[in-house]
Amino acid sequence: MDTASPRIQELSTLIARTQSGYELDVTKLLCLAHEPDIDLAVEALLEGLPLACGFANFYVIFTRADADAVAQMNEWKGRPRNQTGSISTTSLRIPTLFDWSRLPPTLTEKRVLDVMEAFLEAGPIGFRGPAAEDLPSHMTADDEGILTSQAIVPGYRCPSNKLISRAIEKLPERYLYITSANISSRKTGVEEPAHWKPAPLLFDFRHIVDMQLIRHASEDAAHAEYPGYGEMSTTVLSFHRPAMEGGRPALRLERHGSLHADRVRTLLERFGLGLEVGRGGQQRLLERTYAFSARGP
Amino acid sequence: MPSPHGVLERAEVVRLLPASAREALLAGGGRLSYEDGAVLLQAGSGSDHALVLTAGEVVVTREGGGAPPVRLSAPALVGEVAAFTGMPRTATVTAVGRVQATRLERTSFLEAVRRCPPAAQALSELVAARLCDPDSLRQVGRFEVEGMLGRGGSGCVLRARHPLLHIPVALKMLSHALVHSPGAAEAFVREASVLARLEHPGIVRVLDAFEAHDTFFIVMPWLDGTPLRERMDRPADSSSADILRVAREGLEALSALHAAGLVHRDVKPSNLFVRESGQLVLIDLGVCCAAGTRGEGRGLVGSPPYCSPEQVLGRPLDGRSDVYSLGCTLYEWVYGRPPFEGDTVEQVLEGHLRGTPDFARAVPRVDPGPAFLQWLRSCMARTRTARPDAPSALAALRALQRPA
Repeated sequence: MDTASPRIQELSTLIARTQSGYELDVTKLLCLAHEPDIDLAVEALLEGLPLACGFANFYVIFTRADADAVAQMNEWKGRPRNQTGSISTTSLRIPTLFDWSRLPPTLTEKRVLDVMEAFLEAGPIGFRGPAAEDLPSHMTADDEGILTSQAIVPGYRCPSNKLISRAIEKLPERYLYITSANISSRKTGVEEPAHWKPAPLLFDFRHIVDMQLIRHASEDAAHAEYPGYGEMSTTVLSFHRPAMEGGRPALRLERHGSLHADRVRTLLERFGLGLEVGRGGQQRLLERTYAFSARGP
Repeated sequence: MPSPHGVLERAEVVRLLPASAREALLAGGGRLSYEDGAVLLQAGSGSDHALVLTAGEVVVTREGGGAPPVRLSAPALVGEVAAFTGMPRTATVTAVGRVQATRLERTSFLEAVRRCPPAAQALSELVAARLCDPDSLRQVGRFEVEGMLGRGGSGCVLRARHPLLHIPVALKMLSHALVHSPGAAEAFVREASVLARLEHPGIVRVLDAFEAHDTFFIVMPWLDGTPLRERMDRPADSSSADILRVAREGLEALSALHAAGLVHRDVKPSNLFVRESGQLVLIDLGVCCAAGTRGEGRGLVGSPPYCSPEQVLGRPLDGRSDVYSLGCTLYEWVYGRPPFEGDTVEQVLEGHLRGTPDFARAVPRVDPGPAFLQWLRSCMARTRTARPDAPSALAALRALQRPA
């Protein structure tokens, strides 16, 4: 019904032709390379919407960390509603997630923080340690009597840091809930590696009708930024229980993910630490393969 | 010679169905045989099916005798318009010699269309055209249709007349594509009942609503006046006082609509109507939704030049989305072009998400003053947390207009 200009008329006609709504390629709407897009993505998180986000060389889903949001996300993924959540925050706030007074005697706070710094320089990583006292129960897990929290962070170079930082500035909590972008194997019956491409991710999570997505400017560039890292969920190292390897103090490999255990060992060597392989770290996570040509923008 | 499948594709509404749906329509239809002189379809009779002629010839005679009879040979599609629209047949089809045909059921056809928005849209256009066809009955519900007023994203508006009271009314026919989306019918009834109770001089009254031709019709009073679009296209006749009045009355109407828990979703120049008295009226509430309604898949409902960023992103909407759209409308009036332009829908939408409306270099056609432009900028804030709701925007506007 508009007659202002041929161009507007043309657009209106296009909408009119589809009527139920012009089908948008939502994978192309928001991008981590643009400041305004980050603001819009942060607004979505603040309003309680789930946000799929480029995270180093793969994709994660963030939500606010309240118990209902975590339970709902667990349900969407096909997990038990009460499964403990992982935490993401800014690099400066990572130390606040842990109770450093409960470190095993083999480790010191400075030593662990130095190790964290080295891994953050390299790329995406996860740390599990004694939980800070104020963390809510749905964000902590019990490991044989020790209450733990688990931080998953993208490393210093990832543009998602800006998004995390802006969201946390506006939230009452100092952290977000984070989970890999994959459906639980409980739901599908097979191991479901994390997605590292946005379109198949959205397809798997199409039951979340208002999930938002902010992508990398270029998937290839994002992956090239982390040579040697697998395109999968992060490796997780823990420091809440005493661990030894070859007679020297060690961190424990809780999950063998994107950073290979050999590289973890090499990095830990610099700090005089070994790597004890925990039960969950014995087998490396799978990398998702896509049937179509996976490379490209 | 085209195959029966090819014949089906000649009908736009069927052509838009996926090939598998067309196959299923033909495969599911009953096979019929007629002897010479048999009436296959009777003018004025019910319209529960169409026929695909697979062998033989027929004569089609239009009711009223105005047009000469037409002879058709197989393969051909007959009776499809009545079958697709559900309206009475306007022609009689008679066999010439022995004829064989496949029967296409209206119910099967509608089922296929419900799953295919482009076909549903084509069906809407077919129904509208039939309702306005001088040779057809031109009646829907109790109303006599007089003609088409316009088409928009959510359907079309017909001018009609009440047969007893002889008063003109506007009938909004909702697009079949909108009606067919899951839960849409229930939502429509719920929202129409809210709108029927809304009494505000700035919101078009909903007098009645009814279901016909597999969609919904909304009955609204006939308004004398012009769409705002026409006034915007004559900038020489516009003053800053006109713009301020439209801004104020638009926000008053939106405040009332939002207070009722609804979001318009399609505020734009052609959906704002200026009555002869000068009163602004918000019209076309066909895609109105309850505030906070969750997404409808990944589709965009609205008009790209006026869509809010959160609308583009498929987020649950509140009234601030309409404030943004009104802001885009006022921007266009002031500067003579929408805030974001492009050759494709994607470019325009990218402007809403990532662009900044040009207030610094653009030259106003009608200058409402820097304070108004500053206020307008706030209404067009990218994030809704930075944007006022309608009552706040109205209060800020009134403060601007108050003498110092």
